[in-house]
Amino acid sequence: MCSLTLNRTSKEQIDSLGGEGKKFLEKIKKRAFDAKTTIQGLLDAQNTHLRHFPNDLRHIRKETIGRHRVYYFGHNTECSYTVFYIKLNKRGDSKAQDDDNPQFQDKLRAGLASPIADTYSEPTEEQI
Amino acid sequence: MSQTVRITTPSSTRNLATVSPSSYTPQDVLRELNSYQTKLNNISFVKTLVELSMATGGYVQLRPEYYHLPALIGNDSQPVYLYEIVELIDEFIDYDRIQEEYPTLSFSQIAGAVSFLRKASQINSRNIDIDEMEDADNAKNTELIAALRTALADTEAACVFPDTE
Repeated sequence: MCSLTLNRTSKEQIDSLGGEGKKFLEKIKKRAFDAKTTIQGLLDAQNTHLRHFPNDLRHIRKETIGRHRVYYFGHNTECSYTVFYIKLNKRGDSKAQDDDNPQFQDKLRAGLASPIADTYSEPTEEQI
Repeated sequence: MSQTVRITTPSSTRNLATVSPSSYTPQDVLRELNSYQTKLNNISFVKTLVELSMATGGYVQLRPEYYHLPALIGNDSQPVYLYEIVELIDEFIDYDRIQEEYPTLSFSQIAGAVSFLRKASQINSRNIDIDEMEDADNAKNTELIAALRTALADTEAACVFPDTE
C-alpha cells in the first residue's frame, strides 16, 4: 500500500467541500493505496501526464475525480504521492473555484465548431 | 509555393488538401491516407454511437454542429456533454456500495471503469482529445499556473495516509 500526503493547501480545499470532502478524500486515498512499488495504480496512468505545462511543472500530474482536478506528484516506485492542489469545479458555489469551467465550455464549443482544415468525399461510381 | 488539391464530382468541387509540391513525397501521401483512415474509423464508431442513442430513446444526441460529441440538450437548447454527466455520476456514486455488490473488484477497477466511460463519452468525429484540450487551455491560464507554483511551494505536510500513529 502506497502513501498519500496532503499539503495544507489541498487539505483546506478538500475541507471547503464540507460533507462531500470526506467522500472525495476517500477516493483520492484509495487510488494511492491500491498502488505498490511493483504495481502501478490509477495515479500512474498515462492520462495523468500534463504535456503542455511549463518545464518547472512538467513533473506534476493531474487526476480527474468527478468534476474536480487533483494535481499531485509522486510515483508508485516511490510508493508515495503528494496532492498539493485541487481545482474545484463546482457550479454556483462562491466558496469554490467556479471559474474557468463556463469559459472552457465556450472554448470547447468554439474548438468543435472551427472549420475543418481539409475535406474529402467518396469517389463517384464513374471514378471507381 | 503551395497549391490546393481538389477532388471533383459531377455535383461539386471540394478542396482535398493544401500541399507544397516540392515536398510532396510518398511519405506525405501515406501520412495523408493514414489521416483519412483514422477519420473513417472514428466516423464508423460515431455511427455506432448514433445507433445506440436511437436504441435508448434518442436522449443522448450526436449533433453535427458539435461534431457528434455526445450531449443532452437542455431546455435552454444548450448542450450538457455526456462526459460532464459521467463526471457528476463519478462524484455522487458510492464506490463502497459497488464493491459490496462485486466484492471481487478492487477500488481501482471500479474507478478505472468510470474513467473509461468518461473517455468513451468524449468520442467525437473531429477526434479531438477533450482532456488534452483542457490541459492545453489550463497551461495558458496564468492564474492557475501561479496558484500551482504557490501550492507546490507549500511543502508542509498537513496529513499523511495511511495514518501510522
